This record gives sequence, C-alpha cells and structure tokens, in this order.
Amino acid sequence: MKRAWDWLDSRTGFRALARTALYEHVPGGARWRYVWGSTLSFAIAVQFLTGVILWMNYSPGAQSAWESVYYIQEVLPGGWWLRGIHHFMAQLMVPLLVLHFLQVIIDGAYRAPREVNYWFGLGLLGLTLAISLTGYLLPWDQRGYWSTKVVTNLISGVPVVGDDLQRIVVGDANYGHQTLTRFFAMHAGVLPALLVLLIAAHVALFRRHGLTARQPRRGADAMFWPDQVLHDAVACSAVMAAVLGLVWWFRGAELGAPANPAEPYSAARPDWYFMALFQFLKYFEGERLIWGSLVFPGLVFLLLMLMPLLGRWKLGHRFNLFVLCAGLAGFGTLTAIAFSKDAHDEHFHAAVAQAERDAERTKHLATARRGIPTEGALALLREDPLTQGPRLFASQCASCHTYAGHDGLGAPFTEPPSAPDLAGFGSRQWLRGFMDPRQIESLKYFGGTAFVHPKTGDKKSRMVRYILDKVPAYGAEEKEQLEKILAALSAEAALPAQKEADARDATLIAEGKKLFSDGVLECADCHQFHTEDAGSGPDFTDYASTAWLGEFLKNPGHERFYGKNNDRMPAFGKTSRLNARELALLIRWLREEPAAN
Amino acid sequence: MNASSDAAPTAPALPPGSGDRREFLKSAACIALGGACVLAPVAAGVAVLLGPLRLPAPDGAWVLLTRLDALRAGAGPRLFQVFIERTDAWTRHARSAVGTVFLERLDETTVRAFQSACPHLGCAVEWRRQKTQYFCPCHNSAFTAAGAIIAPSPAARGLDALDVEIRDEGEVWVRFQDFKAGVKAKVPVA
Repeated sequence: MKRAWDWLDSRTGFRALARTALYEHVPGGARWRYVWGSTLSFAIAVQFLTGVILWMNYSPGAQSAWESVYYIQEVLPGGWWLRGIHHFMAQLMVPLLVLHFLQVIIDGAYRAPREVNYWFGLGLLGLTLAISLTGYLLPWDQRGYWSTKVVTNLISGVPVVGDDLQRIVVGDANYGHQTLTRFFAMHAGVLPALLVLLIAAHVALFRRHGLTARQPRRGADAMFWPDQVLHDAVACSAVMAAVLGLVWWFRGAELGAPANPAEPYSAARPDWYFMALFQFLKYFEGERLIWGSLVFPGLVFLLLMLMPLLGRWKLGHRFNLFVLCAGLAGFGTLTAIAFSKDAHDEHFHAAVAQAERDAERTKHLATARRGIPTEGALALLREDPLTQGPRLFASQCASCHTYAGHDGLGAPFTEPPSAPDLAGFGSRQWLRGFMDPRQIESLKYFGGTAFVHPKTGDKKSRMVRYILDKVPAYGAEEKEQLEKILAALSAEAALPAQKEADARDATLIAEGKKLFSDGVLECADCHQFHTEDAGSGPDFTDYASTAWLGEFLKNPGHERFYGKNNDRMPAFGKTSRLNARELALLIRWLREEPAAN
Repeated sequence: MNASSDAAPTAPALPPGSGDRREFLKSAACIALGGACVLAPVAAGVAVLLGPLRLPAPDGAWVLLTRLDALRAGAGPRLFQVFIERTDAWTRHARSAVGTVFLERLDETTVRAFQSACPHLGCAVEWRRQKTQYFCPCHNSAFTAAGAIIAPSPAARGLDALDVEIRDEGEVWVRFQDFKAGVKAKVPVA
C-alpha cells in the first residue's frame, strides 16, 4: 500500500500539495471568527453537488421547467430533500457572506496589501447574488416568473443599451423557452464557472498574504490543520444543521403554481435578501426609478470598492465601519418595512393563499392523472372546474350573487349582494331555505332582488307573496307534501352530492312528483314540470340539472325561465360573456361535480 | 494595529503527525464532522441519482397494429409503428411512439411479429426484399425471414419474436417489448 502511495506521490507530488493546503499558518491560534470563509466554501461545494444532481433532472422550457421540478419534488425519491438543501443553502449563503464581509472589515483584512483580494471577494458577492437571482426563475412558478419580470424590466432602464440588453437576457419580447434556457445556462454554467475561477484566485491570494490575525493575539500560533479546521468543521456542521432544519420545517423548497402570464400574481416578491431593494424602489417616482435601481446600488458598490483605499487611514477605517453599520441598518430597516407591509396586507395574503391552492391543485391533478399533458401543467388548471369555477363566479356572477357568503374565491363582500347565494343551489337544503318564510326575504335568497323590492308598484312577486302568506299557514299534511315536492324537485338536479339520498328516497320523490303534477300546493299553477305548456314561473323540468343550468345561463329571460319577469340576470349566451367551455366549467363547479381527477 | 505586516506563512511549528494524542483526537473529530456535514446532501443526491432504478419494470403492452385483411400472405414482412399510452417522466402521452414491429402474414390465421430492434445493439433492422432477409445497417447482422441468424453475424441471437393475438375477428394485437441487447438469451428489459 505504502509503495503505491509513494509511486503516486513521486508522479504527482500530492503529499506536498496536501501539506501546503493543510498546514497554513494561523498566527495567534485558531479562532471562531475565522470560520466564515470556510463555511462559504462548504456552502458552495454543497450547491455544486446538489445542483449537478438537480441538473440531471431539470428541463428548461416553458412547458417542462415547472413540470420537471414537480417531478423532482413530488415523484423522485429524496428529490424534495435535494431541492430543499439546494434552496435553503442558497438562503443561508447571504448571511454567511455578510458575516465574512463584516469580519474582513472589522479585522482590517481588506487593507494593503490585500486590496485586490478584497475586490475579488466583492466580485464573489456579486456572482453569488447573480446565481441566486437566475436560480429564482428556474422553477417557473408564479413567484419566480412575476418577480423576475421586475428584474428584467429594471435591466431595460440601463442607459442607451437597456432595451437591447433586456432583449438579450429574456431572449424574446416575452418570457418563454429562451428565457429559461438563458437563465439556466447562466445559473448552472457561466456564473458557477466564473465563481470557481474567482474562488481559486481569492484563496490563492489569501494564501499569498496569509491570515489577518485579530489583535491582540490570544495565544501561540497554530496550524490550519487540525486546529482551525476543527473550528471550521463545527461551523459547517452548524450551517448544515440549520439547512436541514429549514428543509424539515418548511417541508422542502416551495413550488408555487405554474407560471401563468394570464393570471396576475399580486404577491410577486423577490427572495428575502432582495426585499430591501424591492422596498427601496417604491420610493422612486416615475422615471426616477433608475436612481433607485441602478445609480444608488451602483454608488454603494463603488463605495465598497473604494473601502481598501480609504482604510489606509485610521479615520478612513472608522468611516468604513460606520458605512457598513449604516448600510446594514438601512438594509435591515427596509427589509423589515417590506415584510411588515406584506404581513398587514390582506390582498397579499389572499394572493399567496390563492397561489398555494393552485399549486396544490396542480400537483394533485398531475399525480392523479399519472403525468402532465404535453401542453404543460397550466392545461391541468385551465380545464379544472375546481380552479376555474370560483374565478368565473368571482368575475361574472359575484357582482350580484354570493357563494357561501363570499365571492367564490373567498373574498368577503363589501356591498350587500343583490341576488341569491348559489352555494348548494338545487339541493334540498337550499330549496327548503327558499320556501322558508323567515329566509326568503334574507340576502341569502331574494332579499336583494326585485322580487322582494319591486321597482314599480308595491307588490312583491307572486312567489314571494305565496311563501310569506301561505306557507306559515301550512298544516302538518301540507308540510309533509312540501317536503316531498322539494325532494322531487331537487332530484331533477341529479346533484352528485345528493346521489345517495335521491336513490334512497325514490318512493318519496315519486310521490312528490305526483303531488306536483296533481296541482297540490299550487306549484303547477305557475311552474311547468314535465308538461308541454309554459308557465309564468321558471320551468322545473330537469331543474338545476347541467342541461337546465346551461340553457338558463344562456338566456334566463327566455319564456321557459323568468320571461319578462327576469330581474337583472344577464343572458350569458347572447352576450358571449362566457363561452361554452367556461359555462361548462362554471356549472360543473356550482353543481360540485367531482373533477375528472 | 492590523496584521498585514505579518510575515509570510512559515513552516509548521510542529512536525505533522507527531503522534500527539490530542492532535489525533482533533484530526479524528475534523474527519467525523466533515463527513457528517456532507452526509445529507450526498445521501439526497445519491437517492435521486438512483431514482430510475426504483421505477417499475415495463411488462410489455398489448397494442392493436392492424387488421388481418390488411396483411397479405406471401407479401413479405411490413413495418408498423407502435404507439402506447405512456408517462415519460412527468409528461403523460396518450400516444407515444415507442418503436416499430415487422408483421408478416403466414397463412389464414397466423401472423408473425418481430421486434425491429436488432438483438445485437438495438439499431433498427430493415427488410431487404431482394435477398429476402432482415439486415441491420449498423453492424451488418442478417437474419432469415424466420428470424434466424445468418452466419457469420455480430448478433448473438436471432430476431426477437413478439407475442401475437388475433382478436375480434381480425384485429392483430402484438405484445410490444424490448429485450436486452448483445446476449444470447432473449431477456425482456426490466
């Protein structure tokens, strides 16, 4: 064995190399304050390791980026851990960079003759941030998509070449395949290669100048191995423990809903370390934006570059320390303002919750269907009643109707609704409430409509008057008859949720049908029910069924439905406000049809 | 006050590996901690890397390729494209092209099917009508119409016959499978 090592050493000189690497002189002995550079090297090594394996599974493309990350996250065993480590290590690198930077300034390690190495360090800081920024877009989820758009729009603010630069970065006028292939090449290729080169130079120069010992020295000089390495190893273990803790706590890195240019995401935020800049940009009006996005950050960077030159003088060093503290305080304040604004912003929370719902729904659909259609994950959401129903309701119906008291998407109403609540429409319970004299005039039913508050004359609609006048006088037999008729009526809807009850109560329903047709309780006076002649009230044949709702929504003013008594319900078919596909999605959602998985 | 005036790194004060017990413990702790640090990312990476090994083995899919009356006895083999419902990693394909099959009608009720992938190294073989033989354009393996090796041949076995069923009065169904290349035995790819 020894001979083999000797042979290898004689050919490579690896022993001397290892010795040089390990037996770096640490003046004044090993200390905790020297660990930050090593933790950063460790973090970068972990990012390379996890990044390469992620690379083997990732596919940059507008219809495959989110999809492949979904595959990594939800399908591949261990994938969510891998991605989680990559994600949270990136998060932790920023405070590690700050700590490293602070230690270098406070200990004066940035001054002559180490200026160049300090500049290399600044370059590394910039590269790290650029890698984070480009990585943020790659999952192609709503968050990454919308917040990276902000960044590429800032690029267009660069004088003279801004527009061209933006076009080159994005690869097209709009985000798409080319944006992802470019960002991915930068994130996994160009920038890491530069990072490696710069790290090599950074470490080489560090070795050339030696460690800057904190004064006064505490003890006897020591060696990098094993004294400082032990400190470093403990620090790296702590970093990894923190990363694993975060991965566990957050159940891995987030994968939001797939990027959708047609679905504005009002919670678009950059990663937390860019939140200060995000907040800062709010203070620049109109075209003064460039001062916040380029000029000021540029000046800060220039000042950082000049620090080693200023640091030659004692006063300059103090100035540097002051700038650093002021900068960190400003960074912290802006970050805190940004986060606290979001924490108190209802719309922000609603947008986040909506995106989370969409994300869960997309993942659920992809899993249930054993894969994603070739059109990409957005197609899953586009054809999903559970996703589109509430949105269509909120945009088309919620100007008058409520759904379980909200607008379909969960937002409460600011004005009282002027039409019935449609949650459970056609169910026995909904119909029972309708026929209840105490409820018919409430906002849940006709309370907001012209049937209760007629525009002309003072007479409420015939139906409302019937409920208010006749129903309270019902005897036990009539109450029972009403119950049967409502069951029969509700069975017309064939609601999936009532399937079992309808089957169980078949006799009851048959009796109800007969009672209706026999003219009991006066229903048949106005309502058509499996008969030819149209009544003055809506037709109850197939009431609240898919077909009935389809026809009704197309034209509620048709004589089969409300006729001339129609309140303000628009004819969605006539005005083309909803196409056939949208109508079908809305109806399936209203009827709570189980999604096709 | 700063240390920039420090001398360049000097030689180690202690000769390395002095056998000191304390030094040994420190070194051991370094190695143990260093290993512990990278354990999680390496484990997660290896798990993902080996993920493909955990995928279920394909069992061969029965596909309808043509109707019996579309094949004429004595006309020689014809090549058919095979499409199956398949999930390619994250994408669900209703019809995904997975290969080609040679079908040859032998008599009233029998159809012979060969996987077109050469049993040598998987190139697609061709039917050479003039010579009435299957021929692989990659490494020149040749097979008779019955699929037997024509010696000398780089292929270790004859063409891979596929199961055929005639269903519902004339539908030609084939069980499409891939087989391990380069070996004598016909082993389905797991």
